[in-house]
Amino acid sequence: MRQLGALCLLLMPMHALAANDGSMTALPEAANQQQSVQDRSLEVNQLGFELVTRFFHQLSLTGSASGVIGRPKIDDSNQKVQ
Amino acid sequence: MQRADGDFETFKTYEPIDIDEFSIRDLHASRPRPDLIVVRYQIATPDATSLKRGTIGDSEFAPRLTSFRLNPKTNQWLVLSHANLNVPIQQICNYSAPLAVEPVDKFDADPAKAKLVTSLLVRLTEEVRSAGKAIPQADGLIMAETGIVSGDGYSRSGAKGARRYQAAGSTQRRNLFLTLGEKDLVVRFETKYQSAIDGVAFTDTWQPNLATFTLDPSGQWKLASFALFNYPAVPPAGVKCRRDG
Repeated sequence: MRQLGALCLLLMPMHALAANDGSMTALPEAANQQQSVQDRSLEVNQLGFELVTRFFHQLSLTGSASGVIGRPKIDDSNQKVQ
Repeated sequence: MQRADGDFETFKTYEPIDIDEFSIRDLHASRPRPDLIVVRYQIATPDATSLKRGTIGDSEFAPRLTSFRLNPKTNQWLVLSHANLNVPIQQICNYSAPLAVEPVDKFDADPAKAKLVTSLLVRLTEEVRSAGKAIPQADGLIMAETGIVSGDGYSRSGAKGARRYQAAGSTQRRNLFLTLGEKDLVVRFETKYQSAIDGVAFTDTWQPNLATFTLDPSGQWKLASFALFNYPAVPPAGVKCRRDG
């Protein structure tokens, strides 16, 4: 079986909050449910923002190839896995 | 991982774009499963350079569609699929690309997987790209929280946005590549079809697509994210032209 492609993020503390325009689409009728969904949407957006920020932060830190993904570092000089 | 410059990357071949700084806006995240996050957003990456191609991408905001899954063993979020719709606008002069761009010509030979993927893509084609059909199926293949982006820079959530799609003629597929996990399925494929969004005709040449499916508790595969890299056949109204020289 082909290995599931997954790029590993290096976890680091983040302090940014997601911008949120409340555009999630679930529409429960009860007001308390609506509030609950909005809270959950904000939470999901915050997590999404944090993950995207980590992803691109790692890319900007490492500059090019190895370091941001969860695989052994590749030595470009001899193309062998270190 | 699919980029608008044509590069397709897997876990094994991934070479990231060289990025110095970035800004994020218009982020919308959904959580089809507790351990799956789909995020569509705009991001600006000034002077981002492809080391494979020696090209520099547009510095303006451009869409991305990224899905993350939680590895239960390590409790780490991993990038499951990533669509980058930033287009290259400059070529580094005399750049000798050290990394070969490999063509995508793989089709998984496992008949069971091929059958599954084919059936999902047929549904995707029929239900997403046929006007109106996806609308009553918010709990079906196209969920309200499905993240969709297309090459015109437009992003939307599934059930509402699917109304914008219209398709004419048959859809042809080729160069299918899939990676199947226990609860996730990522499919990269190329399509060729006639289409329009809100009356704007798109190119009818081969263009890549990147779809992520998730297995729900009832055992049904549902679409979690879908990125189309097709683009308008003619520049949309409002796009400024620039003369050479």
